[in-house]
Amino acid sequence: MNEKKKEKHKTLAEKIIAFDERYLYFVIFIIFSFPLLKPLGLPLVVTEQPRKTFEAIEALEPGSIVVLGLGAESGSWMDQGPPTEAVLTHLMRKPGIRLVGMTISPQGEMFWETALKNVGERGKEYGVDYVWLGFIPGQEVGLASAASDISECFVGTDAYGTPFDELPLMKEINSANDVDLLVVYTWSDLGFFAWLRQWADPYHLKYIIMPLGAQVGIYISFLASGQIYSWVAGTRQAGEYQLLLKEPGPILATMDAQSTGHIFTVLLMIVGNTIFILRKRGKEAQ
Amino acid sequence: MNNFVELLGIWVGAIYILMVYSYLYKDNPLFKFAQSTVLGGAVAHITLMAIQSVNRLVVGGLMEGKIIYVLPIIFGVTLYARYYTEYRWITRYGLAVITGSFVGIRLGPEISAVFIKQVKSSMLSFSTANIYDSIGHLIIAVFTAFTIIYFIFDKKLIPKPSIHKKTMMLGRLALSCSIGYTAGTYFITRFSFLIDRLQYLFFTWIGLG
Repeated sequence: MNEKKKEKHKTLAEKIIAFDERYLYFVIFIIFSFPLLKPLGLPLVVTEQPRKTFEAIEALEPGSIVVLGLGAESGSWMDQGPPTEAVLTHLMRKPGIRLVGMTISPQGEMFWETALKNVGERGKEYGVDYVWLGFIPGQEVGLASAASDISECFVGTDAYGTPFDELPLMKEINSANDVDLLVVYTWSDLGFFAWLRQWADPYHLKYIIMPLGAQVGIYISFLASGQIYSWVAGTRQAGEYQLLLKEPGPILATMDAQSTGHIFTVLLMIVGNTIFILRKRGKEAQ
Repeated sequence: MNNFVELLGIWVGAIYILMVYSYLYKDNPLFKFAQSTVLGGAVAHITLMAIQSVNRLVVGGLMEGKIIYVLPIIFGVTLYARYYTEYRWITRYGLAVITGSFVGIRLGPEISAVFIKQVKSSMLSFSTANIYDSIGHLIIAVFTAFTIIYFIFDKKLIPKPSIHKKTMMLGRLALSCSIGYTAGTYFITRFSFLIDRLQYLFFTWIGLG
């Protein structure tokens, strides 16, 4: 009897393994598309890190200077763009906060324009309340140069060629010593560590990051050590941040699809591990 | 005109998304074409950004009378010597400056920011106000220790086979937990990419909702 049972399980496992994965891709397409087209209204709980980021920005005093490191890349913008725009919305709408943006990614300039277009100036004036300095070549070496002397690093002009003398904000910041908060979009280890080594750690800055959701496991040890103050990681936490901002956007509409996708992934993991165990038992029985 | 360009951009984006996802059915020339053009576009963008940076920062600096900015131009030009076999040795000078400055800038803060503080944060107090924090700190310390043992200590250093087997198993368990967690977040991120593209196709391209 036991032998017959094992034979049945073995056959089922092999059938599942031989299953054409293209049918699975179609199922995934349906699982993700349905909640996008017909929202289910699943609850969304705000987790600790987006709340901590929100409170950190709310606690900034009028006149504070925030540096935004926008190391954006087209390959990661889909996951990191929403949290960047959510945090940028908060920074742009909070009165008295002044923003200086720069990037070590060649594509960063393009995504700064995209983010600013989506978020809007919200009453802030360029040159007085925010400045975009543009691309710094040289990765970490460029960042080190900017941290010690911004004017020297950017040759005294912003990304649009405007001299710093014509930008009132740039008269108040010339190095990382003048910065109150560092917010960095980082999709690669190189970007994360470069900002950590050259800005956050030596100048003891509060370091908030917007990493890929997949990188949370890598950076969690830096959160535990206090080197990262908090983060808004991925689309899900961007949705949570939008809830805190009380400005629902297109990201919240995707939360149902995220939830159903995650549930489906867990089911697939259970099925996959079950097959693994059944096959292992089948081989041991042989 | 602006509306037409925007509409064209949306259609090009949508067609490229469909061409790339056609790979899920099977490898095909459309996917290869999309892959090549995206790669070519990215390289072109990076090249233009490099030219713009040189123009803005180096040439801009020279125009302000900072003669020292000639040095980056000289070292940058030496890199192109690699294309000439007879003069390839000149490339080493440019590479030496780039590598040396990168290592020098990076190595100092690396010790403090990445090494010492991380080691310190793996040895946290087990007695805290919150029991879950205490358990978490204990797990961090134990898993860190056994992971290090797994990589460093071989059979010669732990002669007793039963102890060696158990320590290796615990090290593997720690690594498996870490890799499993990273793999899980990896899938979640990829799903976010898919959701974003589906949103683009349904709402921006087709115009549903």
